[in-house]
Amino acid sequence: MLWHIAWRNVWRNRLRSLVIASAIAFGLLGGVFSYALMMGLANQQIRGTLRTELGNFQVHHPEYPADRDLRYALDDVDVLVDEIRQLPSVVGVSSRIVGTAMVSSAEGTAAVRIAGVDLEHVGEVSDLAEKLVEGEYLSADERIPMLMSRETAEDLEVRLRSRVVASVVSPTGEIVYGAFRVVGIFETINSMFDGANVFVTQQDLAELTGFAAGAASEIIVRVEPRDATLEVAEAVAEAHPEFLVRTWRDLSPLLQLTADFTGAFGYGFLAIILTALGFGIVNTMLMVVMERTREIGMLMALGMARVRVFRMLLYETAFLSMVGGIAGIALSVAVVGYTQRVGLNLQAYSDGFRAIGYDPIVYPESTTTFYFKVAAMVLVTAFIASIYPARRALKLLPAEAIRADT
Amino acid sequence: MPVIDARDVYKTYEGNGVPVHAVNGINLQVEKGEFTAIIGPSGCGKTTLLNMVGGLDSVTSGEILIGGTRIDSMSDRELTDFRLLRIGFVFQAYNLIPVLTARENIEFIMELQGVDKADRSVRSRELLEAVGIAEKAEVRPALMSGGQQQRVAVARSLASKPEFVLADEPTANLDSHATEDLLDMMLEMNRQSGVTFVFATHDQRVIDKARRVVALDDGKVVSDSTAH
Repeated sequence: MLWHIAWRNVWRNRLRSLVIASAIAFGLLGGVFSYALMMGLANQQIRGTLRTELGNFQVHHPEYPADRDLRYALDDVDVLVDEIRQLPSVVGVSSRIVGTAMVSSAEGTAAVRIAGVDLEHVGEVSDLAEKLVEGEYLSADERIPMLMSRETAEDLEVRLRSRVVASVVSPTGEIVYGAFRVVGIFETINSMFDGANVFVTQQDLAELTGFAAGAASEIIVRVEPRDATLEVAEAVAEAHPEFLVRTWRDLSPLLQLTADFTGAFGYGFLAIILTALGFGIVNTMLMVVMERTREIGMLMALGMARVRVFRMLLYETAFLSMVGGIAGIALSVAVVGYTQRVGLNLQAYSDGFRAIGYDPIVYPESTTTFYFKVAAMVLVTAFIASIYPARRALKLLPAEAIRADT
Repeated sequence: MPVIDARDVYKTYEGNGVPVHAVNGINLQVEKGEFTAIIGPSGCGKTTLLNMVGGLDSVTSGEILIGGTRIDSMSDRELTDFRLLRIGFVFQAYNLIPVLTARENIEFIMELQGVDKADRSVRSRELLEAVGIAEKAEVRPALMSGGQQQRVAVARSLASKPEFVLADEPTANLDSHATEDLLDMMLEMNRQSGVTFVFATHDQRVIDKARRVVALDDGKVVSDSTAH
């Protein structure tokens, strides 16, 4: 019956209970939506970067990261590619030759990273073909084709079919020059990536630089699910200790920070909101205890043990919080679900978003596990918030409390 | 053996550094089946005495035995159980639980005692019939008159089958008619079932019905008379 009394007590002052329950509900909505928005942004950035730039892990010559010199190549790369392709969870493998270059047009010059991609397999590890805003993707049918970003094209004042000259440092240290024709212009969500990269075919770059046949600068591997990345990368590293195997977390510390920090920050933000709500709950329950001093005294006088009085107030706080919590979670599921489906259009801030690698159309993300954790956090908040008012109630002396004015 | 045996009981409060002797050496024995009124002017110590006898307040010195058991040296937890199992209370302001119906108010005490559901149901029905408001079983206190609420309070006080019922100004908020009805009902219970009632009261109507009247003044018994 204690549950019964507690539940009915919650509704003795409907307005007050609804006000505090609404505060909990909307506070949770704010916290959960902020978390979902941050997770959506972070995951979009991670997915986008992995799918367009990094893959899940990369294999290099151990000396390569120091100065990204074309001298440090992986030999017989096709054998290694085929071997990695056989590993579980691997959904794509492709090799690239990557060097630094100056790309010049009649109107300007840009310092970029030039990547020679394997036309047969590049689609397995990169979705750059989907980011084209003009022209076509690289193909063997074109002579000396090049993809560059809209940003670089504008800087160099070149258009589709324009010719540009790339100067690249060869594996022997000489500067070699080659002409390329712009066949496609791309635009990703990351303007830093766009400004720093151009793409050509692996064959053209190898011919230009005199790169050894069957060699490449790096192998990019895509893994599904993402959680399997480390396991697969470790398997490759163990089988080939002569190579350097680095996951996306090693390759991009900023991305790692984003992945690790976003979730923690979301929970922290939610915890702050719940703490603020907890003070509201404490205040409400203190008012309840003050208003019901005589009733609580009467219950004690009749023989209700203090521990039962404590439990009754704990249940009341829990019910009050659960009403707000359930409403808040239901609201959050609806709002996050809707925006996850249709996306949140933040195009007004697209320049800023692209500068830090975020897509201006954000799809907030959340999981069922997260909602259960939120529910647990609400219950913990309710428990903590009930302690002080309940302790106040327990200090009442029945003989005095039953004569109280309230 | 008396159901209530107060021996040389003192209660002193510290009021602004000055000791106030609320109860000043009272000896009082109440036998089973009595219908006793403790009377006296405001501040004479009636309620303090009742609270001490009911285990709601501690004594400064002296002994209180209920059914032969000393309660003045019990811990808070022991006193709580003692009140729950052996004493019935009726308060001036009814003090029912507003969110429970009349039946639930009565059954709640039995639930605290660990009485099983079937027995609770039978006993609450019997008690509501005994106090004459069986038809109000499923009504909440706010929808009952003061007299009806006090009847529920009496039924609740008897739910635990206590050794006696302490009633502190039970008629103070009732009109004449409701007071008359309530007292007649309690007298009937006293006569038929031998329930012991001890009242602290100013109310002349209660005093007129009581078979024993103990008058207090300045924390002392100044008279103790029994009607024959």
